[in-house]
Amino acid sequence: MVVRAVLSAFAVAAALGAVGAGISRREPALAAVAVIVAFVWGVVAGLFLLRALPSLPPTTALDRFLVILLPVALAIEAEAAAHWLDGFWLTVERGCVALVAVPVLLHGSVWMEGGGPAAVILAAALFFWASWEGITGEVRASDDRVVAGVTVLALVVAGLSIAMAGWLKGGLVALPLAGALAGALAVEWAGSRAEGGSLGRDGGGPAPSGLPGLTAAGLVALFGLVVVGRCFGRLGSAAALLILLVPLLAVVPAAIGRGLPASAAGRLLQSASYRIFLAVVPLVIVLWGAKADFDTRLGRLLGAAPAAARHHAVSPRPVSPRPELQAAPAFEFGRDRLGGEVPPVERGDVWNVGGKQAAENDPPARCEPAAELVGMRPEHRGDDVGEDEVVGWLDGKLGEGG
Amino acid sequence: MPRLPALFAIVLALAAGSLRAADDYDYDLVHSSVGFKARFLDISWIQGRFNDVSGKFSLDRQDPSKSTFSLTIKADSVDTANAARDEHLRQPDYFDTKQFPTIEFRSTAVKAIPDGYEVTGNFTMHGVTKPVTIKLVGGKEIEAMGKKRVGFGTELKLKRSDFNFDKGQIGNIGDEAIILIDCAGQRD
Repeated sequence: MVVRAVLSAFAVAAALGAVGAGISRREPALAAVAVIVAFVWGVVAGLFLLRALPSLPPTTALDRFLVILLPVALAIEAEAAAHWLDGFWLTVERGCVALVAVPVLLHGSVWMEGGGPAAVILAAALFFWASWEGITGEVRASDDRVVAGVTVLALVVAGLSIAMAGWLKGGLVALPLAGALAGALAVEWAGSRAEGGSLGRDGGGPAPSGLPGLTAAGLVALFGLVVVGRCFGRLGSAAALLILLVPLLAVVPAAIGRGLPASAAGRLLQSASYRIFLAVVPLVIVLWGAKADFDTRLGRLLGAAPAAARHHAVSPRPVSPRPELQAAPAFEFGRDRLGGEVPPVERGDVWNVGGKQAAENDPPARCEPAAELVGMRPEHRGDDVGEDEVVGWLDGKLGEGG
Repeated sequence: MPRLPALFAIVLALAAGSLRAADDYDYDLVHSSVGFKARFLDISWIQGRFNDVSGKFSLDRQDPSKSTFSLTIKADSVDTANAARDEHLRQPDYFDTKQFPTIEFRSTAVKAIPDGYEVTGNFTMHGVTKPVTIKLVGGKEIEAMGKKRVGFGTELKLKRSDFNFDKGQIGNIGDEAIILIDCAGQRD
């Protein structure tokens, strides 16, 4: 289902982008808007097939990302592609969106209790605005496709990392985004090759291109996804930061290289392969870390670990702050039971104490309930026994056993 | 003459105090538990509990309809005896505890039944509030360990899909969940 959703997102974005660009061939601005619209429909198609369309009204961070943040950002980029507003107002719009992006994503959550961490929100807004404005400006000036390409990769890695950390839906949503972005970029690239320049270019100087808009779409998608993955899933801070740095690693060296006088170093900094390498290294590190985390945590739940570590079927016991009680084999019996070494227990029996010893040494045909094992006085069995009394008995028993 | 309003207020306060028949109990976390269970692959039950619960009961034995019950569960305190699974349950695929930190019940109507109370109220989980009616068995007050104590038990069946849980995660773990509440209240 996931592969089908990603391929569909790619195909829908590419097909609609091609049709739109073809229809508005003589209107470069409209062609540029068309590929952005195609990206939107590609995302919708992918999410539909994943059964991950956002709910309305949006109640979760992921819903707000897909229903509010991403569409607003795309509308701004469509304005930019169509030249409906001049650069100053676009900068202001992007700044406003960047400023409210994190509060919108975190709205109503524990993160915003007491107004939220203002300094962090402001720092995130500045980073978001600077990278959005700076990178799209650089792409507009240079027609550089590398940054959009690595953003697609970053989206995939962000999604896989979030999913492997335990938020499956949050992670999977990234994949149609990446697929649709790749589809729209493919059409934009094909169009630019056919026209000998940017999509819709009619010769005679720079013409509107869908590339900056698509790059911005990828950046906004990446930022939103990483923020919700970090704040609502278990994406680590280091991984989040590395993923967000990837587009910058692809664009900053090129900008530096262009500023240098013609030299081998300048050419290296501008070369696509070097910048892709720079961007891929942190992504590989993040993915490796996510896989290692998955193997040690969720992988065990999902069957990658020995049967003994899978879903327990025994009633849980509150974790005691006392180490000697934590060491008591509260769940060993159930674990062994899943492993098939111990006969099934009767529902209602208490196996908090003594199960481990019995299972390890000599699987008994009948196990005594905990009350007897700890030497609880018969007159107290069945009473409404307070925790203090039980802890007292356990203390005595553990003390006797050394 | 100026003393009259003050006197009137005192009399009114005393009258209100004497008319008040409800007993207020605090939730006794030590002797209470809120657990849950759900089907795993439809072959067994996965059980868990919430370790951080608070609440209040106000029992009016003369006029049970004036009684109130409230319970607040910190969703973050979910405990299924497996740390990895607990972290998974806290994420948005399940409880989404950063977005929806509490699970709450607030009674709206109470009536006495032979072995306890039938309580209708609003149950809020995962950002969705739905009316539910539960049968609270118990209610007998005893005095023990220096406090007056009362206890209730109930089971509440609900469907996760009714509370906007991710439908993609309903499969391995069944849609229906049973909330098991055994709570004690105490007052001086």
